[in-house]
Amino acid sequence: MSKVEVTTQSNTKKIALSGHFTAMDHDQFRGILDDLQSGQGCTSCTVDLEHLDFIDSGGLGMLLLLRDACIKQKMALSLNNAKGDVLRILDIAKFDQLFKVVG
Amino acid sequence: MNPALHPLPRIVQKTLDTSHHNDILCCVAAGSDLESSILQNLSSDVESLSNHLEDEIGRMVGNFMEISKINTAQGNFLEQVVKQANSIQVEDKDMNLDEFTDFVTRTFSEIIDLNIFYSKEAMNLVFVLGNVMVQMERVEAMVNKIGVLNSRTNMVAINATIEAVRSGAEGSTFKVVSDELRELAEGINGFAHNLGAEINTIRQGMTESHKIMMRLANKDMIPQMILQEKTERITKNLVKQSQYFSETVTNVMENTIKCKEISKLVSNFQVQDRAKQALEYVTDTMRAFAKRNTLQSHSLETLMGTKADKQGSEQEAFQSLNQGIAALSLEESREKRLRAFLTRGQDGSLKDLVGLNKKENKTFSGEDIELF
Repeated sequence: MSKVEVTTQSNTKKIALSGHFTAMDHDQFRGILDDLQSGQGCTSCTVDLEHLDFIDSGGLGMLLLLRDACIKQKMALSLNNAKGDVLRILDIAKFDQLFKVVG
Repeated sequence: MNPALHPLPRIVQKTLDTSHHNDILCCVAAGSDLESSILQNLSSDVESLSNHLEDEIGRMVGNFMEISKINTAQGNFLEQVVKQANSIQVEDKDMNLDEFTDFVTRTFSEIIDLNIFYSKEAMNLVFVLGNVMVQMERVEAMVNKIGVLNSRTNMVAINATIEAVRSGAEGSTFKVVSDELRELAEGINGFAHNLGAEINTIRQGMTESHKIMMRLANKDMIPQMILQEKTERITKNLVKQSQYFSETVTNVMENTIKCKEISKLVSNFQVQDRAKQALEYVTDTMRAFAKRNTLQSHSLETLMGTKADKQGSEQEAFQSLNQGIAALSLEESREKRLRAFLTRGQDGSLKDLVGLNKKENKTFSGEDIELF
């Protein structure tokens, strides 16, 4: 299971994921999506993956749903600080063509 | 004696002062004999060399023709190898390596895209089912609420009936309404009960669907994606290796073609014919000169009228030749070989003259050639 922390600074919503982000985290993440869709005046969203060790295909699917929600809310989205296996998986899934991948 | 006349033979120098014609003729005849003998030896050696060259060059040309044949066969074989290395057969069709790489890349890319699409839609469905289940719980709560309200309605109807009975005839109309109300409440109660049961069935179905969907969503497709990506990289590397192999074989093939051309050139050179002809001229010329000298010697003997004693004159002729050799300043071993050759077939006194024994007097066979 992943630890998910959500903070808001000025107009940016920051979602920090750590540990293993898998389909089992759907309940937590659905809450985040619901919040996002309710609209809280944020203009951008960043997902910090610095402390994320593993992501499965369900996790990738949830990031894509987050992308859809951000597009709907006209919010900029970026995936930050991915490394190791997580970065490799993002690369294989060609997420750099769908997201702004930083660092 | 006039030292300026040296290295003329002593007998010639002597005849310049006196008129010993026979001595002169004897000297010329001895010189002719010596030259004749040497020319015969030379022509014999050159002929032997010519035959030897002809055999060796003939063998060499034969070998080059064989090499040319092998190169032709090898070239054809390599051509086939290059053709095979540059293409792959897919469903009875030849696909070149670039097309194959594109095909593999496109296929794996599509598979990965599909995996990503399914992952997203599976999670989407999980979320949708989750939301529906929350909604179902709310509906269930509402049905329960209906039940509670209905119980209260029923209670009110019973109370109204009791009050109507107490009022006697005046309350009989009111009793009819309260009975109706109680029947209605019972009807609503039955309906709410059935609705609750239906909703419960739907909720169970939704819960089961959610579980199934979760099981699907939990099937991680990342290992397959990594495997696909690895396979794609391996395929690309194999194609790269195959292209390198093909280039190498092409280079070998080009070299084989060059070797073939060289072999053909050497085979068509006809060097043995040219060399043989040239050496025949040399041999024939030397033999003609040897014959001429022998005839000249016989003529001189006839002129002298008697068989002259040429032994002294031969030694003198050879001595003057010996001086000529010394004037060449040859390397010691080379000079030694030349002297051995010139005295071949001559008697021991001449060999003694140049300090050679019989052991060093060899015929041309290649054994006395100094190898470098």
